[in-house]
Amino acid sequence: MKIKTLHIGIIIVLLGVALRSNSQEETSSQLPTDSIQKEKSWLPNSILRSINLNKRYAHNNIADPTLVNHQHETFDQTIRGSASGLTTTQTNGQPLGQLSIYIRGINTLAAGSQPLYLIDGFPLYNDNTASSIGFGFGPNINALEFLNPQDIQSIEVIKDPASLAMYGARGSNGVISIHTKYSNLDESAIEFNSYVGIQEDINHYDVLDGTQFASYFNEALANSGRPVKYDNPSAFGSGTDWRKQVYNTSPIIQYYNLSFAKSNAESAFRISANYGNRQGLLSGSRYDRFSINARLKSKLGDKASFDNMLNVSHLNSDLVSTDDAATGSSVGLINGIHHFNPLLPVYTAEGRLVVLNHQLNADGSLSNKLQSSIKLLSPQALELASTSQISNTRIMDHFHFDYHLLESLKFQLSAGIDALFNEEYSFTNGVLQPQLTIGGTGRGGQLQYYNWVSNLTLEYHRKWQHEQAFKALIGVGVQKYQSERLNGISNGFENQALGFYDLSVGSDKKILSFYNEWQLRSYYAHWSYSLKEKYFVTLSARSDGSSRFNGSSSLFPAVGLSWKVSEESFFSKDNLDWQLRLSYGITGNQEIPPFATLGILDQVESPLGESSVTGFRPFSLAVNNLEIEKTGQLNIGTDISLLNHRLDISFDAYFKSTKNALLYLPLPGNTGVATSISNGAEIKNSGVDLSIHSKNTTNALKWDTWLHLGYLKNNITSIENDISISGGRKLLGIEDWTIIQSGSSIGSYYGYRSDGIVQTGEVNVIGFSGQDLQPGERKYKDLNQDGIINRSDKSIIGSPLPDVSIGVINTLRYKSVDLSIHLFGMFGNEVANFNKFTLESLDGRTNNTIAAFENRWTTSNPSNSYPRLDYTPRENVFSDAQVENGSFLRLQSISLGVTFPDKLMNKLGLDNLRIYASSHNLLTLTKYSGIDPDVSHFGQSILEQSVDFGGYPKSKSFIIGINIRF
Amino acid sequence: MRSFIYIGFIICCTSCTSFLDEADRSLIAYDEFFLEESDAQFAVDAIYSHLGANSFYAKYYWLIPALCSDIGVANVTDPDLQEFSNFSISPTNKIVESIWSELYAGIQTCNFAIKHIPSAPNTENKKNALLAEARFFRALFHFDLVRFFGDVPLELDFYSTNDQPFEKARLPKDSILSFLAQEFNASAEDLPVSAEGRPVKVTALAYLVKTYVLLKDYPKAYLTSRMVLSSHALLNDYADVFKVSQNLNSEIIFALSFNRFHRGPMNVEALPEELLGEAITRPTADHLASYDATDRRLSATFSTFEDQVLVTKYWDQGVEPLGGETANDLPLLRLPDIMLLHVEIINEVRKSTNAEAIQLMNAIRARARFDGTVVHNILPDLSNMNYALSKEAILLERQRELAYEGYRWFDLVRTGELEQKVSLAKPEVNVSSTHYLFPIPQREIEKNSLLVQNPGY
Repeated sequence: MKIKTLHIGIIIVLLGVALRSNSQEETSSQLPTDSIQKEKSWLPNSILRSINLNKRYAHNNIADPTLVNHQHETFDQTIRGSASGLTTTQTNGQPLGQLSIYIRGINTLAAGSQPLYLIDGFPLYNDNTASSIGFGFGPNINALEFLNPQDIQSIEVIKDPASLAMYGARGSNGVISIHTKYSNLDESAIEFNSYVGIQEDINHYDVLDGTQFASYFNEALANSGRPVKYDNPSAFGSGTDWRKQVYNTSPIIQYYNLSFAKSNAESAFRISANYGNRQGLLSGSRYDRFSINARLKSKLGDKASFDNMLNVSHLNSDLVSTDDAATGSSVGLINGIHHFNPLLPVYTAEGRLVVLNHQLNADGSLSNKLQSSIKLLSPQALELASTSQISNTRIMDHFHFDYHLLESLKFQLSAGIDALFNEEYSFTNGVLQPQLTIGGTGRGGQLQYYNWVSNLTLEYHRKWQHEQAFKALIGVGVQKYQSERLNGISNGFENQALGFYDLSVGSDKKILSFYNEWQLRSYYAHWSYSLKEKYFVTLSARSDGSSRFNGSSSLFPAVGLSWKVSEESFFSKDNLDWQLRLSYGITGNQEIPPFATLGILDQVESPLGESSVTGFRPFSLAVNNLEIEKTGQLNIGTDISLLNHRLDISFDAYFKSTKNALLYLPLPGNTGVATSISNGAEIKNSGVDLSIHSKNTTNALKWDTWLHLGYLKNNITSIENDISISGGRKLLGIEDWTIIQSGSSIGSYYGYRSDGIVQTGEVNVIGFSGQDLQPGERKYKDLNQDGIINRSDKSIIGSPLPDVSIGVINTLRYKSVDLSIHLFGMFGNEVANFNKFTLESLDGRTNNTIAAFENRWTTSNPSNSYPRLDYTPRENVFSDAQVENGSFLRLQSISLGVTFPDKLMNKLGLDNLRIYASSHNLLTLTKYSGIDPDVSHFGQSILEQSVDFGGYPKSKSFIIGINIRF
Repeated sequence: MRSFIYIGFIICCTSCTSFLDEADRSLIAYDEFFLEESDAQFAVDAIYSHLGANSFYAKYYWLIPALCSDIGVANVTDPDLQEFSNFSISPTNKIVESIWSELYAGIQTCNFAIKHIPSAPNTENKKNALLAEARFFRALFHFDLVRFFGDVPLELDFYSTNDQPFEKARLPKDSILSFLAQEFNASAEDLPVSAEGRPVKVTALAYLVKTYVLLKDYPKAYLTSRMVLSSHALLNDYADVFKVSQNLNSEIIFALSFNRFHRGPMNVEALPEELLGEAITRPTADHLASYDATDRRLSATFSTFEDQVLVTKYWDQGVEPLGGETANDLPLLRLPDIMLLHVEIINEVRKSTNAEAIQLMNAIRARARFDGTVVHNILPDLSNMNYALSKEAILLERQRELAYEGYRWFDLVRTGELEQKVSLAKPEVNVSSTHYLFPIPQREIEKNSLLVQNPGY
């Protein structure tokens, strides 16, 4: 496996172009088995392979066991814990839920922060704003769902500045390079893979049942001086368990894959067909997913060759209303399950569906009064009376054509297209809108985009024996994205039977359409040189012109040096490899929305008289002199291989500085414009990455361990005009709960410091706007000691960015049995648990957790953490009482497999047969009080990270599967 | 093969000059506007978005001057509302911030229209009418800024790029008001005589009256208000004024329009939970006591729900029994305001009332006796009074007639009665001369170094 040959001088790094080499190594049959191995000759892609041949840069390859043994829904989930230097969050538990990934921190306050993905060289982002019309209920679906993990050969995480500079204006957030499978056997094969399984929720809140809720409500009323409502709380029994009403019991997950592959000396192909289906934990959520991936490569005579990847996928999914981050809405199924009055029946005695969160009269009838001021709908009603659907059809093709003009001079053309057809529909039945005389709201929208890319390169290389080698490359590339959206919104349905299938039934209709495009044009050059296979130098430069920055261009240079110390003559230990690396490069970030620099008008509609008028008003200022964000990164690293490669260690320290970071700078109010995008911030990220691979035992029992550890420190070092900018979308009436200020880390929570509970006998405790606080109420610290509690007493109360992230993978193989265990953890991060406002409200309005009710403050239980029960509504105050330690360690996946012996298989006429059982999310160790600290209500938003509020619950799965090769 | 490669490079490099241009096909940039005749109308119609359901006017205009006075208190724990209620307004108050930024956003929309309409391809008459409408609104937004904050920056230019100087100093209140008087005057010239929901000549004149009164230019105010009085008339029943079917009735001088497709938020704020509201304010006992029990204005303004009295002025129970968002208009300026200002002007000039003034006062009182079917024997006709008594009587009549319509704090500030009246209704709060102005938002001072905070904050 350890190929000692060094392919010196073949160092090509290049955006978007998987440069294919025609040398013989590419047909190597080795699979990726080692995340930090020094030689990567199995990589199908010469550019990336050559980067890794000598491990001259800080990269991680995702270990083989993760890809093969763990049945992840989307390929980005395999990256979690399989590489160092990554901060990852699974934002919610919805089927095909979205991930947020930061590589080596966050460098921006306004531009995109997610890494660039290369799918066989085709550049794209996990970005829903570009690929979703946004009309489906619930949070965004993972935009990377189109590519099935089973069709992936390898994933590489690129972090080093010397390589990233070649990704120019899109390199700052790091790059994740994916290579699809092709046939790598010199024979034909048919493979069938399948698994089926069930899911259950990983955790849930225990809320009050009927009897408990009636006592809870009674006490709240009594404590506020009102008469109690129910004389006999126990008469209500357990009430309605809303969770059981809308949860599926043991929802299934199933997956089938059939692939055909063949290769010979001239050509190779693989065609794979996938079908997957999953029922969600919540009733009414499911998906069906189909995809076909075809990879074909062939030589065309002596001088030419080509390689094509085609992926076609279709997703059809039913969605339910959970955490709609865009609206910051407090309704939704999960909030309903948590807070809806458990005394209420699903249907009244007259058979009418209960919709609103009524109070229940003592005689069992519905009161006109609502139980809570939060506008909640019955989970059951919401599930029955609202529907939503998404359908995505995506076609991607990318090909590379090589032609050798001379022995040492190669020309390559590569081009690709990514086309998406997205449709989303939703319908809310009028029964959910009791305030409207004619209800019903239907929405439907279609988005289609075309994204094409093309690159041309010339590459020259030369070698002088084993003394020196040299390689040079120049290239030019263009990319264009263009999307069209057409949406319809229709209100007031006299007849609701057709739902969103006929929006024309509505009486008030609106059509919206939107066009979007951006372009990028790039020129790049790369030069590398090696001497005596010990000293290596690379220089590269890329110039990117971006339409989003008025066509202005920026230059991104980089230099990388490495020294194989162990090759020196004074260093004669045979079983040791040692290399030092040093690199510096500048990368960019151009991921601001198209048209952000234009002074544009906003179309507005306003009531006037008995109808309305449409107008256009100024929306944004024209922005002059905006620059592509530039990040300089210095990387110092070393790779050591000990004990005859039994132990491989790779260590990197990095220092990143972004001097012109983009942010939305608030403007004085008298300009009439709230903010304007500017290069006004300075951000630093620094940290260390450590990866270790150890072959613990290599005899009959093969036991391998991988460890990935990352430490990160993120810091905003300055802001233009030294202002601080508070933010965070309004949630439960709370605004400005995060802050951007110099000296803080990105996404810092901003709120009050709580000071326990006022106890009996304490007098003159000040509250907000000078009110006196009564015993049993939560008190807050008067930080500026001016005698009143107001916004000037807010401070930073936590950070969602973890200090340390860790992944540990263990694989064991004994004869025909294999076991793989994958742990993932994050430490030192905080989560803003907004569920606490409602589940621990102790106001007799929303349902509460049993823990909050039992531990509430009373004169006989002088709690210092929970306030007293009181029906008088409390203002929601964001404080450190809602900010919790979000550290966790999770058993991400565990898999046990048996491979049948060759004898048996020969009888059956099979090449290989393996059956396995595995589980995801089986166990999570955390002190976090909520369901799961691995959460983000606002998806990938960098200024509103790690909020937990009514999100789609995560599930753990138990599956059994089979792999057969004929 | 070589030629193929050559062609490839050509393809990649062609249209080098235009490839990176941004084609904002579904967006309109500033310099692409005012090319067609309809554009000038669009630019002016956009101003109404600053009066729509999410605007400062719809959410706070009727509310804040009541909280920040003797007639109402905040009924919820929201510190931003509580601060007005108990006169502890902080410069970081969110509502104060939004009053400032939303009024200036409206001004920017007006300035965009005013700057470009002169060069638009419309007829001179059309341009003049549209310019008058935009100038009216720009003056209205400045007028309210001055009333809330005193000296403020006067914004007459349009900001189009990010590299302009943004910092502006405050100008003296009276010089702004004098300018606004000219603006209201000029827009009255070119505004139409009638237009549904839009400002007309009389609307501009009515605001001119209010501006003159603030400038204490009583003679001009007197002449102007006579023109306004002659063009509007009171309805017979006070309760009808706030009915959905009476959205643009004869005593409404200017109102925010709402209708069944675009509903207003007033009732969501005012009504109790069972009517899909938030019950954010309740009247003071002092204010309720100012009415006779059978005063039509009491029952038309307030209703009792279980244990609390809430504002139901904008709730047309017959049309919208379930509460929630309303199709009812929100009046910004009603005839009784100008009637009582006319009495105030006479009293300020003559230092007593005269027959003309007493007749106006009595017309308002007489109407309040009628409860829809019966005329109650309350609110006897007044006769001439001296300066102090009439001042008191005018203020009391305004309190009852215009409660929760965005008047009370302005009235108490204008007449200098703030401390005295509030200390009667809310003895626990500490009111001082500081509270004659709102604080300049702290956030604005941080962004604009030329701003100086109002005294006391």
